[in-house]
Amino acid sequence: MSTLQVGTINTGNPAVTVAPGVQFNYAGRVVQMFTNRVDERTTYYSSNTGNGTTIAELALSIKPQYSTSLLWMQWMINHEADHDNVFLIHQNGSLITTAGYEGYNANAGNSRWSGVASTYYDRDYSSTPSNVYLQYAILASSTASRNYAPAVRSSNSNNYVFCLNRPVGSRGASGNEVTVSTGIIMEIQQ
Amino acid sequence: MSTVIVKNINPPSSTNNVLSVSPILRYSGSIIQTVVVRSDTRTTYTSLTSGNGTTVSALNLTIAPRYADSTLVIEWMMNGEIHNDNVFVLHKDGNLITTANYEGYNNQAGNQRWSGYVSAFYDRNEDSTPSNWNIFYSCPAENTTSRTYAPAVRSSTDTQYTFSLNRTLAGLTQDAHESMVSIGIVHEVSA
Repeated sequence: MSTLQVGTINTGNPAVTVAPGVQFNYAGRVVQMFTNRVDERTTYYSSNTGNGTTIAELALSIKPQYSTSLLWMQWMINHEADHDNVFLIHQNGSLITTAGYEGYNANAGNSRWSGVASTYYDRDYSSTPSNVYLQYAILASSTASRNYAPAVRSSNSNNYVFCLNRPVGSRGASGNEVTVSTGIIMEIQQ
Repeated sequence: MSTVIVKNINPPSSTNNVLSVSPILRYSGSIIQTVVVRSDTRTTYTSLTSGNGTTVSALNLTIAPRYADSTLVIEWMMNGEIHNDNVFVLHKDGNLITTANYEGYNNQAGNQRWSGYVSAFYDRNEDSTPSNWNIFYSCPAENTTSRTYAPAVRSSTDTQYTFSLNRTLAGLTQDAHESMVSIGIVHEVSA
């Protein structure tokens, strides 16, 4: 294998072309990126026990190329639910409990009121959705294929319904807004 | 520094089609480095009626840019609870950012107490239910000096408030009083 020491790589054309299938290897590189858009208007059961219900439609699948990579993800979730719910982060349908990367507040522990974010208190649980933004990062740790998704859990003794992309009261009507939710995941080489 | 003029780059077959570059490969739009901060700390900050805001230091993002002409792209997911009459401004090294066109507040309103980068929500609950903010900011690096960016909280009226990060105002560990996580990320993006 040869090593070329050079400060600048230039070309007379608009771009240097790298042969198909060839990958660069350096820290900071965005190795891969996937997005997910969900227009489905659906409902999930938010239980007052357990580790949350996976919002499966928002799952982001990835097979890291490097076990040392940082996986960084974001979701825009439009929804309606009672204010006594939290969002968790699941990997392959299970709550993430890895130290330092918990899918809930690590200081509070895995209590039902512990999440990465909460639903809103807007005193309307019928016709007007809310918008929540989730950001999460974790080291890949292996190159095994996996998926990440938000999950919802009741934060009190009641069970609730969580409506994705729709209000609780209907699937869409005048004054009952329907929406879109999206997600993105990046593998960033470290 | 040498320059190689080349149209195609091919790795030898022995490297499994991977071209290793050390320490980094810099081209327009490439990410030079990424720094992440995660806070599970459930704490409170005082939101004052005067001054330039109280730094939410648990969300400090520290970066030493490699290149002065890079762009820093910063994003926080912040969860907490506070009265609706508050704004969040942006701090650099504990001070309000006042650089023209990159101010940590609305530059048309100027640095008034009601001028922020984002506002608190009006949810009529300052007790047991937090809010969620997405704070997105970018600025030129300008130099390679290490620096720290963070949100800060300021009252927008003549009343002083408390901002609870990752917790509700009323409770810490009980039903219906949610605890959350806040996360920030900064990318240095090459010019």
